[in-house]
Amino acid sequence: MPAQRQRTFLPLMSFGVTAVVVFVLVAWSARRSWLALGEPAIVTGYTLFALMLLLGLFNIRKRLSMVPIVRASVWLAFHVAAGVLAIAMFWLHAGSVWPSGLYEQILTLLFYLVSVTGIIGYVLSRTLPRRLAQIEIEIIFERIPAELAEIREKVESLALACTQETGSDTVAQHHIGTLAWFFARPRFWVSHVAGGDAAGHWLRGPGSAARRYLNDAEKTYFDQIIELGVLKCQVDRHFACQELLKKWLLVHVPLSMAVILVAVWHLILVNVYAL
Amino acid sequence: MITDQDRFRQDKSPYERPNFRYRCGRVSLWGKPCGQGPNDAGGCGGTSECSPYFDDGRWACRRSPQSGGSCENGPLPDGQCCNQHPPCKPTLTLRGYRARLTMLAAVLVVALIGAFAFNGDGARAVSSLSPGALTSGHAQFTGEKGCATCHAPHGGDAAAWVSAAWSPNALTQSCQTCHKFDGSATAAHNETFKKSADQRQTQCVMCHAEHKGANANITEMADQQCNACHAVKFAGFSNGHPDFSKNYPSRRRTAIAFNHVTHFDKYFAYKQFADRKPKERCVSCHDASNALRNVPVRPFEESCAGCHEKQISKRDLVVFTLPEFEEDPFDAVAVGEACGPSAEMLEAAGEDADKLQEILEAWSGGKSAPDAAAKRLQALQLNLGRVEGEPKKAEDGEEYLSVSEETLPLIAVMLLGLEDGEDIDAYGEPVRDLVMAMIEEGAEPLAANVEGQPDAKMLFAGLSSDILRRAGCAWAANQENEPSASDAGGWFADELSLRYRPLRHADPVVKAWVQLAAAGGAGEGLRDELFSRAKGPGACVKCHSVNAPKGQTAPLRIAWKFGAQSSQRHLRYSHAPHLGLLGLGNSCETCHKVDQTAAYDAAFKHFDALDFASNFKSIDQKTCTTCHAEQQVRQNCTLCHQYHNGPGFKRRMTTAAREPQK
Amino acid sequence: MAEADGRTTMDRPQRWATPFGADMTPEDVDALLQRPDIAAIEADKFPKHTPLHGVLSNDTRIMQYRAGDIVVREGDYGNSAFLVLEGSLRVVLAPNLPQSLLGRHASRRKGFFESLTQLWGNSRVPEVRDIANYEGQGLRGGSDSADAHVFLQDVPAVLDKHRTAKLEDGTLFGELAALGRVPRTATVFAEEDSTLLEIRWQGLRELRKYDEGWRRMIDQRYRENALKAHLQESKMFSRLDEDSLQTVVDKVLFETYGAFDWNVAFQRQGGGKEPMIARQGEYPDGVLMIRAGFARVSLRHGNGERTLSYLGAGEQFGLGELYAAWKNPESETPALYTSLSALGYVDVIRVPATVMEEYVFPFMEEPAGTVMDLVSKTVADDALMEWAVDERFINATRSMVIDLERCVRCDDCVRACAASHGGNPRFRRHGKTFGDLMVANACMHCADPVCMIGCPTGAIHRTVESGIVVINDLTCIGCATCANSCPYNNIAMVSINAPDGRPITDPSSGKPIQKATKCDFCDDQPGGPACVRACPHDALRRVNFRELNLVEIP
Repeated sequence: MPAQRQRTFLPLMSFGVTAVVVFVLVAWSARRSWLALGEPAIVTGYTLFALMLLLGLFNIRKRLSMVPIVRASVWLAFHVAAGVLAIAMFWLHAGSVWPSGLYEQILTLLFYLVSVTGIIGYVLSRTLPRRLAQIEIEIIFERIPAELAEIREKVESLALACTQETGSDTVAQHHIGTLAWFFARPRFWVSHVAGGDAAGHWLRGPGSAARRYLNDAEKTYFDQIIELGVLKCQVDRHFACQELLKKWLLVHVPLSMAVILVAVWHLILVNVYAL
Repeated sequence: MITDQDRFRQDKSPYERPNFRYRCGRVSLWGKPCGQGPNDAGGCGGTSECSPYFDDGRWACRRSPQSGGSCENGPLPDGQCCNQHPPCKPTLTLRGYRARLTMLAAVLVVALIGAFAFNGDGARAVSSLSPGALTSGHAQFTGEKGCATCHAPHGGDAAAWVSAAWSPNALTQSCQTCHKFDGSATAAHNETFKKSADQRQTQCVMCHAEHKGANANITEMADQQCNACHAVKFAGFSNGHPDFSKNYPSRRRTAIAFNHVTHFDKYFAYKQFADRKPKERCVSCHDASNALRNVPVRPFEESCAGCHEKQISKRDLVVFTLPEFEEDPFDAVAVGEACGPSAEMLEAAGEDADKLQEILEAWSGGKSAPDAAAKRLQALQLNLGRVEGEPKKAEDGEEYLSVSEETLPLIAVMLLGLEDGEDIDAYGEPVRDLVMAMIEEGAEPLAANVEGQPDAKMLFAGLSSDILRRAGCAWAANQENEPSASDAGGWFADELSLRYRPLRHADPVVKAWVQLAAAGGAGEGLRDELFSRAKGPGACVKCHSVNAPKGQTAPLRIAWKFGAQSSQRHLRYSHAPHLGLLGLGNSCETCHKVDQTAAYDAAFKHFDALDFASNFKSIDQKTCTTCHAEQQVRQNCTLCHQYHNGPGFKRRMTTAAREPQK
Repeated sequence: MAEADGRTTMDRPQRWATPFGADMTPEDVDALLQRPDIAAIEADKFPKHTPLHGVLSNDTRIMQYRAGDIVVREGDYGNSAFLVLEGSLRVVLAPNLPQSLLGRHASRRKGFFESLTQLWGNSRVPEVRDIANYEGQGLRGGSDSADAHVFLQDVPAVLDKHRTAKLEDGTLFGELAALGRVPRTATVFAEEDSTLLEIRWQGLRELRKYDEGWRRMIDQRYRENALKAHLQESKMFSRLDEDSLQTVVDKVLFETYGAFDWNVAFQRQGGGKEPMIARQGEYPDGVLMIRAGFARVSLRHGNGERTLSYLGAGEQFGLGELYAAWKNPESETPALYTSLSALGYVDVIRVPATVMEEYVFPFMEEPAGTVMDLVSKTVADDALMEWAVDERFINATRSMVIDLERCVRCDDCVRACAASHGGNPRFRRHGKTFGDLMVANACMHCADPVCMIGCPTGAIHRTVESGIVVINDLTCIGCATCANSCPYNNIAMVSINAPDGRPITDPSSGKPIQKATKCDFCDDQPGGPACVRACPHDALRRVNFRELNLVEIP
């Protein structure tokens, strides 16, 4: 529904324009300071620090949705714009891409890591949901283990039933030897995240390898098992993409805590030693 | 299963609670979670599925509908739930791990900072807190105190840090441990400008930022930064730089009065100087190979002596001239005692002509002509009444005829402390005393009169008592002195005066007398005499200018050296690269164009060095911007201007041992 | 206020544990039974567990109104009918009273800082309740603040400016809103001091169910009163004079299609039957006006029926065809362009063609456009609407639609919902999907809220101000009727717990106490639904399917 998609377009554009304006103002102010034999790193540094604090506030904002403050989507637009501005401001402040001085290098490294993980996370947030929407099923992440357990049980009971009904244990043996590994837990994580179909490919290959040895009766059971395998592929894809959508934050958030603390110490040092 | 049609029914799908930190441990093993879920403290909540209820004689299952409602089998006879499970180990959700990782990151950062960021002992040459290497010049001396060499709060306690954080830094003071300037370190250009009373205090770190690497150039400045303080702001040398001063590059008259125009146009054209005149124009005298700020002139001997050496010896310094007397001030007896042989000697000699001759010779040093000596002797004897005849001295009515009709020279007036040299009554006795003193004590009395003056020793250096005695005795006898051979120069006495002839250029005695006048040791008349360009002794002042410091009348300063007057502390100019470009030949006139109409000599009639006219037209800014312009040769401020006033170090390697400056 | 004391047992709540009027004495009930309209009720037709006496005692109350007091306001959602015992009242016909006179006030919302305390004040134990709150409910003064009435300052002026009708002794009014799950159609105020018997709809339902006289009366009145007002609202009849309108009212036919509790069939068969009301190509036998419920307008397409639009209350069918035929007498016999079928339950009013031609068309504006304008869209364009109609999502005034291409499955919406409700979320982030959209299992606050059928205590009700359907936790007895009725599975039953985590059980049976829970659109939170605010990617919206512009109604 197109109208919906533009709901944060305007805030994002206005934040972007504001960010550019802020950058120009700060850069101009820094240059004026330099021309007046002042220290331009003061204005760029404090601006950068304020930006980092504002960026860090996003985490707290997310817990405050029950209070009528600004929508989280507007806040995210601000976060993105402020993040890009912070990167530009960082380079303006440091004067170079990589500083000398061990402490500054650690700070820079942390900052780059936070920025890069943030950008990667943003890209993931825009691309992975599309892939998720294209999967035929929709499942809540926390329910995946239960779902997999059910699938596993079903497959096992089918294998047992097949053995009982047909008297031949080919299917069961194949399950023990090959399929059990597949149904034990989510597999082919990388392929699912990258959008490939290694899981389906495996299912059609080694997964279905035993089919040539089966009679029609067994094939009925086996096809049901493979169908469940296909279902599991879909569940696995949900697992992989949803897990990545959650796990990237496990890198981004702790690093941002670290970078803010390291920056606070940097602020103290600069004020004690240089200013 | 996810494919069931009724999977959304509320009894098949209870609420998910993503705000809880723990999830059932079976989920982490890829099994089905129990219905109850972990409790808040992280313990398993699903060991038993229900709490059985004793009703009507038997135990009944009371499992909640969300977990499936009552189970089929019901509780065990002893009242325990039939569906017991071993407790799981609840695991944190991903969000819970995120919270823990964040806490861990915070703790880790604080711990690492606490462990490594306080190296207050300073023993390390490089602290882990250093934002960059020091320039190699500064990096070597931080050994003992380390960072605290410049940063006072380093290694201090929390209170020191708090006060340091809130107060401005004291780095300028640290810099002054070693660096010094000719002015205040916190004044712009290290100068005190009269105009701006509210001059902004400067700190070293305003322009010089350290910790930018061992090879960083910390003295580099951009043109725009100069505009920070300068009220007249402009974009570049060729774009708005104020015009050069009126007589640029001359700010005062030359030290040596050398009129380029007259020399080149007139004097060098004279036939008598044809063999001595310079072969080339500028570089015959100016040594271009040593071109720096100035292109130095070759020494006098090489460049000027050819024409001017002889002049110097022609101008004598007259120290004393026997003045006219109205009556004989001398006491003959005293004179005879001082000058002549003693009465005993004469008694002893009697009228023995040989003995007399001996005595005469001994007395006159064997130098005077016999008849002159005889005359003298006769005069003496007459005076002593030994010989019959008419004494020169008139007894009745005959007037005393002074041998000299001169007046006292001004130097003598000064030496005797008189007011002028014409008041016979005033000077009679002092002159007599002086002459007698000259006879008896030689140069000492003269020297005594100038004791206390600068270079007093030089003033009468080389004056021998002998000359003084002979001259004095002659004058005391109202006779003309017999001059000694005087071509060699130096002190000599001629008929009636005591003189000094300069030996050569830079004669120290004449120089000392001229210096004396400059220093104010002479009265105005004497000073003018000594400073006369046309007649002054040694012709010193003919070429060497006498300058009064601004606003003062004394002491004056004589410019003995070429080019010693430049006081441009903040201007940097070197001829060498320019001449190198233009050629070491006579390319000077590219910039220094001769001004034929300038009244050059008029400037040397007074002592004000700033009231002058230069032989050369002022150099226009356009001459420079021909090359120093945008996109051409560099034209940054620091190319020509030096910011600091006399930058130096407090401690330096010197050839003479002396106490380092505090 | 009693502190939580760690008790984990309480008596199971009963239906009449909280009577409607605390002051109803047996004398009052006897006095009522003397009245002719109530005495006519056959008491023996009532079952043992809900005797007439009990109904009168527990489901009615006697209310006093002073002259000028407003009894019901137009637009309010109400759950009770009123029987005038004595006095005189007026019902405002037209124009409607301005809102300021009606004295609407908002329900209690938390303040900003009170809302902020939820950040740390929520419990980590699921579904914690303080049992002490449930006690003493019987002493409540009434479910809504019946003691305070808003009254009109200047009754004569109102009478002067507005057309009103008089309601006197013995009149029954308000039953339409109570039974029909629709807002009050008119404002009623007391002209003189009056006494009314307020019957909540649970009681009314029993009366209508078990007594034939009341059933006929209620139905007849339903038609008479509601119909005229409804017709008057329609654009078609706005220019008619009184007599013509009355003629129309008398000649109109009433038709009902489908089942009142259509949700049961819907849940069982996932769609249920769709009785055909009018067929494409047939002669239009009159203009059909939808009174309540939903109907599908469809066109034969290939071997199936293609939905063009869906009609709700107030919309009509067949007008275009009849008008065109009347306007142009030379044309062929008119035939319906499309078919009309009932989605679950539809109340239809048929205005015969002759009546339209004689009394209505001459004075009516020409209708703009027809439903056939919608045919130009492709089937792919309409697929979403087809699905929404099939799933009966068209009922929704506030459904939760999640754009799956934007949702990163972060659960921030669920967490925000939980934070607003004491740590307990009120929806599940799953639901039927179509393409990129999912309609999540969050209460949709339906236009036709079938969940409200059957609630024994009235715990589930529509709020007066906003029309949000809310469950009053204090009076819910956990019978799960609403949860089972909801055709969309949006109401969930939960077992409640003590703060220490132990479940609260009924001491007499050991069974855990259950409560019904569902999305309440953050009625008591400042700023509206927290889920919408919480989504960082704008993936979540609360959608009114009527206004979704899926369909343009001519």
